[in-house]
Amino acid sequence: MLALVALAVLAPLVAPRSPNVQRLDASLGPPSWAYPLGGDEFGRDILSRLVYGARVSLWVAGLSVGIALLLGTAAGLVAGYRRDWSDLALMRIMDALLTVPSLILALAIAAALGPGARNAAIAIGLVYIPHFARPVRAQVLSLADREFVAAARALGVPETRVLFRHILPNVLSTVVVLASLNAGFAIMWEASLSFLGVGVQPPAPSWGAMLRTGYPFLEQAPWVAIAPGCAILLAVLGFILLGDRLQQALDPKLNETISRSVT
Amino acid sequence: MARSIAARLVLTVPVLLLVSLLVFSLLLLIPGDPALVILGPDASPVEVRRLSRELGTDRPIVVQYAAWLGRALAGDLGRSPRTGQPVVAAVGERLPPTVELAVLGMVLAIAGGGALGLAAGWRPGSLIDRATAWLATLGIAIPTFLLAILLILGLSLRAGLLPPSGYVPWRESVAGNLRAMVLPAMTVAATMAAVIARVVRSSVLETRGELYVVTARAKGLSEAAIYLRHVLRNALVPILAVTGLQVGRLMGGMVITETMFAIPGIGRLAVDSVLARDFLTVQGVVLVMALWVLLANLLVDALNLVVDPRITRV
Repeated sequence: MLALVALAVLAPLVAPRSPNVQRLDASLGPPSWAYPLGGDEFGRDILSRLVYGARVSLWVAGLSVGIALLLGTAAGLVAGYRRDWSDLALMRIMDALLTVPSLILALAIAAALGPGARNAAIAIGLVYIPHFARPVRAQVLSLADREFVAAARALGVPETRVLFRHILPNVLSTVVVLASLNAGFAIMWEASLSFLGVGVQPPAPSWGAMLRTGYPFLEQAPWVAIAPGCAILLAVLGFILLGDRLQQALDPKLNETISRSVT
Repeated sequence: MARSIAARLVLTVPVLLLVSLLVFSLLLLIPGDPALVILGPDASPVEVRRLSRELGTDRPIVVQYAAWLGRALAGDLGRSPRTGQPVVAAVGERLPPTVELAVLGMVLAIAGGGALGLAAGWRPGSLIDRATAWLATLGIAIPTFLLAILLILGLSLRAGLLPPSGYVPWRESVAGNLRAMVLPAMTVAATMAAVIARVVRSSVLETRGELYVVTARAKGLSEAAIYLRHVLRNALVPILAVTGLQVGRLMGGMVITETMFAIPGIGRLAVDSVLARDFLTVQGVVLVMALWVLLANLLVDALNLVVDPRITRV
């Protein structure tokens, strides 16, 4: 995972060529020393485009998880702590968000907002709010009955302070694990949206868009589509495994709530 | 039983209302005048004004929503400016291939994932168990389009076993229809099968230690009988629960699968409409898919009552 981040940051240094230089003689060329993963339909170096594409993927993942994390955690905290009409209302909204298949909803939102990486990230972030709100709420519900919370209240600590100083730190480990898992899925959804033509637009080097343009050449030059596909798979796997590790390290008891929220 | 199902039905009404609000607000997200965006830059001002009035965009949002909801309840979601066809008819026309693909995919996922999970759970730590764990992680992480590409490349272009894409209506040829559906159904099923395999494995592991399984073994029942009569039945409850939860994800995968295999279903319709900025049709598809997920979950709850008599409330 660190390697992926390093790759994205150092893209101009690592990439053997510029991602947008076209050399028509290398068009759809097979993998070679000069072009380790082959060339695409315009003779651009696929490896270099993958390296630059890591930037797009990570940026979208970061932004969308950021949106979902902030709004979802806030909603989960309030709903779980107040347990009144706001809980009921917020959770029904989450139910509604979960009822619409997430890819369709993200597709529709991204389409309404218009193309581009930022809008795709916003769409994915909005769709993922329940993935944070639900597990956080579940945890707050169980925390709110614990002695240390009752003690803080009995001492006259203001409600907001109880929420932020006593409850929030206890849900943070859940949030971190969720963030890692969802970052993996956000990369997958960004690629899906770009693949369908709604997210990042060519000629920007995005893994999903590369797959979209390489797909028609599957028979003559399968590497054009398979290389970005494998990049996506590795990135998603990386984040999921990272999430699993974090979960085991931070709080093994959380297994149940988290795996349920993701699957 | 009928009562608890009725109670569950009542609970879905507020969710349904919120979904409709969500679908409606999609139009509000479009920057600028929705009528202008829907009709495109070539539309005449007269047309734009007519659609504005039809959509009611010149009135307050609450009034717009109420009017839209009223029409939606009467089965009127507007007319697609792209094809001139009523949205409800367009969606209905595209529904059969999607339903077929979803059903085939689900059957495949339950059979494949269930079998893997049962095998893995019966011999924890064995080769099958470890292989299943890896397959399941891979199945969850693999993007639909990559799986589709690999399947097309391996089973169709290289081995020549199956057609790479296309759709044959079953009225024309049942065999041709099924042949064309094998690869898409496998693509759609993968993720769901992975999740089911995981859940079934842990359910089997849990059941294996139960006293009634020990008793059954002490009675001298054969392993097969124990498995079929006692373990399998208990594994059905989590399979059902996961299937219900996964229906939404399955639908998402269908959008990509239908696009890649050129199947004229509602997923493909959604993508085409999004690319053509035909938002009225997009609204229709989103609404139908949400209804589908709600119905599937109701069905799962009802089946749960049948499978597990201990559950009396949902």
